[in-house]
Amino acid sequence: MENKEKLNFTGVDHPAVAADDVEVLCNWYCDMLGYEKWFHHPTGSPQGKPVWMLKAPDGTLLEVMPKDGTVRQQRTTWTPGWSHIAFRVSNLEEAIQILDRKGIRWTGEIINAIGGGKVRNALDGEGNMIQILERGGTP
Amino acid sequence: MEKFKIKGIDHPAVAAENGEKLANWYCDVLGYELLFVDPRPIWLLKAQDGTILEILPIDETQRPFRTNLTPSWSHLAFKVDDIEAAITHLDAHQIKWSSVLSPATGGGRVRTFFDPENNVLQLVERPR
Repeated sequence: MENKEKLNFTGVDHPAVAADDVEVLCNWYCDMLGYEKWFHHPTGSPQGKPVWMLKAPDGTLLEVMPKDGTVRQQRTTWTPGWSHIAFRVSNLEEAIQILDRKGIRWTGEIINAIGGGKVRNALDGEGNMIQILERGGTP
Repeated sequence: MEKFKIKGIDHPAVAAENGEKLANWYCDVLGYELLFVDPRPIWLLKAQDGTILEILPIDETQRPFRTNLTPSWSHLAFKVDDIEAAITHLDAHQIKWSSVLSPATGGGRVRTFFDPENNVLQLVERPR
């Protein structure tokens, strides 16, 4: 019989990114997007290197971990696997003006967001794909 | 430096070899609800706390080999109230685990597993 029991699941605790340089990437997310340093584990990775948890104003976390010896792989938005993280803002045009002054690297123009609103694609400090997104209406 | 704050995460996005099947898995096994389907097709799923998960179609590029610590986006962790109950629930769905129950960075407990397309996921129970 199929199991239809529901998991006691509330939502996302955190996405995680493996970084070439944990300190530099943490500072990028704090300086550029307004994350705050929430928790530091000085030996949290399997190699005993530091791991940071960053916190956004809405309480969602972002984990920044040190890379191992494997090499960064080329990927497009549509390559199988984790593609990007979209960050929500209240006003996209204002966000773009501020992020432009901070020197963010955009990879496209403003487009309609799936599900409502508008979005612009960018890269974080190590070239990982991110989106800056303003919702409108639903969801 | 000029102050600017995002609100938080709107959505993580994963590109799927079979988007419909993967969207159904996230709904049936993890309890997401279908929020929106774009004809491309792209699925938006919504969790109880309002966070969104986007499931995209793939292009012709191959899934890259990666470990949990290969540079770039690594995994997505889901918050649960009772991790033992969540493990029991996922065991009933024949989940492939890749770790034992361990202390979580920032407090609480964590266990790592794979979705049906081998994307890395975690269950996290935070201290109350």
